[in-house]
Amino acid sequence: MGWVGVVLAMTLPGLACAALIRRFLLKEEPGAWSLALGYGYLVGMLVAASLLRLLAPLGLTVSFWLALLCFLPALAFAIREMLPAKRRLLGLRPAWPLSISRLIGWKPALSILLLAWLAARATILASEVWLQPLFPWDAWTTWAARARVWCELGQLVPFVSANDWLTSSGSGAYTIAAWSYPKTVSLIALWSALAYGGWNDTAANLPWLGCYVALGLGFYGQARRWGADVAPSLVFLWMLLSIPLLNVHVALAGYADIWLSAVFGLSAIALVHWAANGDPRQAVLAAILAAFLPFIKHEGAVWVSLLACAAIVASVRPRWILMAIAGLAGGLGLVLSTGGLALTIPLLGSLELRPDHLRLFALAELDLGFHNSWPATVDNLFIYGNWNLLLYLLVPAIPWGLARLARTGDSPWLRAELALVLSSLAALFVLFFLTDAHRWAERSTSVSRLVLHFTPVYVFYLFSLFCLPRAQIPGPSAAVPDRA
Amino acid sequence: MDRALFLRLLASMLGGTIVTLAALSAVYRFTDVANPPSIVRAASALQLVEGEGQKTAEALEVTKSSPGRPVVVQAAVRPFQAERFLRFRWSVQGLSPQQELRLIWATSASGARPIVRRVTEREAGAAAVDLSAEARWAGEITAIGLVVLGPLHQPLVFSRFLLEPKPPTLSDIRSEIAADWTSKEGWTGHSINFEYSGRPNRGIPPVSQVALWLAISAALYLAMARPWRAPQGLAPYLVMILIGWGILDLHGMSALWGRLQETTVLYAGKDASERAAAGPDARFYPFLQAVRERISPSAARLFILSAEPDAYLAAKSRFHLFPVNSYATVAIDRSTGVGPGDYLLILGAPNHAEYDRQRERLILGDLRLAADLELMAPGLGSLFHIKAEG
Repeated sequence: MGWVGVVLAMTLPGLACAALIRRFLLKEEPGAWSLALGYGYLVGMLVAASLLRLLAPLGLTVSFWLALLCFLPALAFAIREMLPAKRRLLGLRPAWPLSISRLIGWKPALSILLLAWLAARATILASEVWLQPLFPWDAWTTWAARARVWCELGQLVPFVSANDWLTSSGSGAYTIAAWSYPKTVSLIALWSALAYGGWNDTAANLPWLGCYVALGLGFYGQARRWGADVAPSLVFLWMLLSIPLLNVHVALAGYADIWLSAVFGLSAIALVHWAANGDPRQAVLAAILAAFLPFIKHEGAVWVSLLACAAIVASVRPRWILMAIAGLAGGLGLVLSTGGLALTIPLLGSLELRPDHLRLFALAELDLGFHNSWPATVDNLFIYGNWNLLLYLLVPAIPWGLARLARTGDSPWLRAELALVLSSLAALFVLFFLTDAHRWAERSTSVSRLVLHFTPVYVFYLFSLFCLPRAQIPGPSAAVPDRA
Repeated sequence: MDRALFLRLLASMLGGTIVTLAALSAVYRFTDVANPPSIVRAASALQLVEGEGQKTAEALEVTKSSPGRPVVVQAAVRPFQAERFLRFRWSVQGLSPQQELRLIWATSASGARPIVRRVTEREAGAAAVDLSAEARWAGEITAIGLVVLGPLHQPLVFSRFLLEPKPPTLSDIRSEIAADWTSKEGWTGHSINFEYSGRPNRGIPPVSQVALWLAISAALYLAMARPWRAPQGLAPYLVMILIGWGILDLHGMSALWGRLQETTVLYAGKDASERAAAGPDARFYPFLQAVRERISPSAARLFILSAEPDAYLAAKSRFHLFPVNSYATVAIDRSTGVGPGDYLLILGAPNHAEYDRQRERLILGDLRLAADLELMAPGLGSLFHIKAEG
């Protein structure tokens, strides 16, 4: 089908899911469509990948068309639900026409400037995706490698370890170094390649551009629902979408990290919303995206625990949190001082914790010991040009948030955000300073890519320090910038 | 934003700019972030050209001069530009006031004829020569040494020669700061992992410069606004943050635009196959296309033998050859399980692989395989089809 097929494959799942989200999960509030489109695209591509895998025994061409057709009824249903008659009955009102007076003033001028600047950036990135053949290492050794094999063979052949490949001549299995990595991102690349009608680097990479746009739409929608006006929402959107390393992961498409960043980020932001106003629909959005995390990269399974931790911290009174932290620290100290522990948990596998070794089920097996990764870490976080000023701002923002939490008393959303920020930093510290992964830090191959996973969370944290949530503003009107 | 607040903000940003520039100038002037390191030649890099003596790890000891000739000691140096190093120092023990010193050097232009400069008493006492005013100290310096004239009453112990870099002028500093902001790197293998802002391993990256400006400007505003007397808003700080962010973003967009120009030159107007042949794989992509045509996708397996199976060539070759079912390895032996019907692609020239054309046998150490040579490209590799014995 060529490029028409690719456009269809990238839009139909996203539109169907966006329409369903808009119809069933969102009220008529600022940012609703932006949020729906952003979350809808991510959910749509993840569901498409899942359907492709589920229906693969039928052959990939058949499974692709069947999966695509699955979205049609969903889209039709959602559109039917939003027809004008129904909309009036449900109290929804059209957003147009827009009053011209709202376009006068410095805020509209700033908004237009920011939108134009973002559009220029998106155009440059889109041009790179369009022209650049598959470039980065892990893309052609792992994520796109599998997609290409599946696309060219028309079937989802298994990938096995090198030892298994050598001893299984004639089985049709393939081998790559990262044979055990989750398949979802490869299936996303495969999805658009099948839509094109055959392997094509550009077709396979286009969903990455969609991911970037979806991240922006979802973030903006959530910022508006938080209660911020258009201008401040666009300012922080610009800050997020201008993160240099994020731009690189779009231009040199093919890695899984931007997917993990978008899915984890938007899930976490929805979680923070739920913590702020108790809206169960935000919890549903957070849960839907969180469910896909372990299927994107292995560390996604660990990042789900960070979301769970933030949800618990938001729900439980601070006194109990402090007691739990003390208990956990005490328990950990006791376990380690008595030589460690080893458990086998049904369905999950082995859990071993010793002072020099950690086995976390099938996820990871790591030797523990302190390694001085500070020079490489400082380079990656503060010296190289990966983050603009984000991490320089995050450093004072953390004690600022803690001080505000102490001052304002009960603030579940701030507790949740601080839990996300601090637990992510703690996870990175453990990984790069206490495990074998310190080698990746020293070679600067992974530090920044893992920080990328948490970038939307960090930007939203800064945003929320500036704009209080609508739920905390007395009286009607959108949020105003917070005063220290 | 009221007038007083605006003026405070403006003053703090201007003050921050001035202080930042002063701080950057001091760093460039007094550290080696952008200056070349001193050229230090310890005793092990000194050569006795004229005279007799011996060399230890710590010193070159000259015990006797050649009859009627001075002692000449030369330092082994890589050629360098004279204008970057303007002070020559030496560490020599045993010199007496009766001896005269000469500094000698050669340039690319002077060839084998050395240029000689007399060392004054004052310079001898300081054990250093300032060459900033020396007109003949110009161009590419290819050799440098010290001549000692006069009788040798005691051994001369040469420990070290040192060439100090020229302290940067204000104009130099301005150029360095400009270079920090204008240096651009295209897409590289590390781009996906980290982005350099500025020049790798040299200078001060723009993000650090802007962070410094932001910190100083914010501190100045804090001092002027005195929020401890009356609570104030965060808006001025946010304005500074956004200006700093915007400056860095302009820099980032400029880099993205530059890279897009390079991408466009390389790939615009080409189809998928032409792009693969135009990019970094241009050297070996046509060979791999020929290999792919020789192998049926439904064939057993392709073994790729390479001295570096995890390096770029072998790994990218696998991608270009998909859906051929391949495996890259550094060695093939009986345990690998290569058999009739399999293909073997030898990349480069691993020294333990030979092909006997007459017997049509591939010799891999102890392993001998009957094989047809399907394809060969000098400097790239050879493709063999393993066949049954007999």
